[in-house]
Amino acid sequence: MAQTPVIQTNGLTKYYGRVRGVEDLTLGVMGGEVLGLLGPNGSGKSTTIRLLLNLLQPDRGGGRIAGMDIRRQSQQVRQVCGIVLGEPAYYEHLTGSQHLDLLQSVHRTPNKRRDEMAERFQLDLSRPIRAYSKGNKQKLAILMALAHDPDVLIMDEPSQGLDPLMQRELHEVLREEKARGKTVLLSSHILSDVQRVCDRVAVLGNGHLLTTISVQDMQHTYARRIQVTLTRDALPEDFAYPGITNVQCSGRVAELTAIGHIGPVLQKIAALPLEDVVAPEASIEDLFNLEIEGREPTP
Amino acid sequence: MSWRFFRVTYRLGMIGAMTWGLVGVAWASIAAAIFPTVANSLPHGTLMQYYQAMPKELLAAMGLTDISLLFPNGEYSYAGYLGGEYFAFFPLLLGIYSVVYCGGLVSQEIERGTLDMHLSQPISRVGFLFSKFSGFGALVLTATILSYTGLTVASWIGGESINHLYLAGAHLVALLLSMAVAAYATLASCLLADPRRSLALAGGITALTYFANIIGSAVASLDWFQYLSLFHYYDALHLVAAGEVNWAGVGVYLGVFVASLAAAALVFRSKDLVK
Repeated sequence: MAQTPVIQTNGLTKYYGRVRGVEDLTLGVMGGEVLGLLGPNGSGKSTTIRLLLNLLQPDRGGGRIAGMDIRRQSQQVRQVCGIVLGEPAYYEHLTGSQHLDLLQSVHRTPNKRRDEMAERFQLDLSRPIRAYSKGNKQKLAILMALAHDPDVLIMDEPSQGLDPLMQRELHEVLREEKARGKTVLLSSHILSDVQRVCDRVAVLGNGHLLTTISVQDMQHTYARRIQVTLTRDALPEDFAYPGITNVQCSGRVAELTAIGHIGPVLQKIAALPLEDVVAPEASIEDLFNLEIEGREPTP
Repeated sequence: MSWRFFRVTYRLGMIGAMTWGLVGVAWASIAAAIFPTVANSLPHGTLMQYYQAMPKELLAAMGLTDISLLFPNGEYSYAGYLGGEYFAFFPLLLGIYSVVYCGGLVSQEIERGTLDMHLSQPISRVGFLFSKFSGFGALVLTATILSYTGLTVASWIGGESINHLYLAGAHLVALLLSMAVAAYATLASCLLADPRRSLALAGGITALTYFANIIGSAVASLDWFQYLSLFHYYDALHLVAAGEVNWAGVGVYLGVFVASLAAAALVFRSKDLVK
């Protein structure tokens, strides 16, 4: 029997007047999966998340989370979700602990992981919010999402404002949540976030879903920059093969972009008088630029 | 409705409510303290003659609809004095408080970004709105109780007797008036995401209707103006001096309160919260 996605959108469409937020977005996140939403500013990532949480009303389409309709059962949906929204804001006079108390009373479930997470993210909950730095406010948002141990996590730019150490901790926590069978939808423009924790990536551009691909496939099949050094001067004709583009020759060194599986390209290159080949691991930035800029690989 | 949101609203607004209430207390104390001076400043009967000589329209504009209540036995009464002085402005004080607080009840949360935090929790929008509004109701009740207590204590210190049931009635009707103002201010706050605009709208309506009541009372050809104002239905003199409640006015307050709050809930329920 086919597994039903835990998070599902069907033709989700939202316009802000004449400006497109998202259009015909159909997306599914399976149980225990971490899906990354990638895209530049204005691509529709935050709109998608706000539609899922019923903070915005869709013009068309709909969706379900954990089998519940995101509009008609939005309150129940939020009961099973841990949510981080972009640029979190709080009551400045209340402490972090008081915010968590408020959350607990609304959820009517104990904040089982409150102390554990506060310790992991090194957050002092006894201080008033006005004494918190931007990073600490972000940590509190993450804590509020995780404290009641929800089954679904929906996070909009969760690592924003965190220092590298805390970013690493967040990645670790998300990997653990995945291992515990939790479903995560993560929006980010920090591509390393996605690379480190996501199973799949949905790339958005101008409110459209451009592609959905697994991180593994993406790294193996998309644009990859290769540097080839020959024992003689390199000529563009040496690399005139299908799957190779954007060739730049300078003396004995040629830089080129290989698209798709790298094996056949390397076989062709192997026939040349080689001195050295450098092919660094593909980054998601390559994919990102490729998809947004109309399948043109990064030069 | 969330008890916790109610408590947070009450707690965060407590200083404001105490301030408004203490302004009322200070004003009540001053009013009570200067009453003997005002009452005895002129020879017997002169003050009554002075009021009787004033045009009825001007007296109506001042809320003094029945001079006999000011001078029940030919003497200037303390209750009449309070009705004409303190309670002519106390509802306005509560009205301003309601506009200032509820004009930003939702829009200020949107501007600060805290509404996102609240509504990403499992609480219904209507439940959230009513929790916040109830929190404000408790705050304005606190301010009203402070005023009642202040007047009672000031009257006792000044040696003036007052009917506490009438005094409580005058406060209660003022409270109802302020809740009606708060309800349409909340509606403005739900309609407009910018707190400055929602405050301007709610404040503008309150100021216009307040002056409409004064103009409608003073100018015979514009007397219908006064019926547009919630302040018209608050007859302080009859309330404090005779214990007479304008039940039609109470009905108007309840009607405006229920209709505005229901409209606010409908608007808020389907409002897009754009970052």
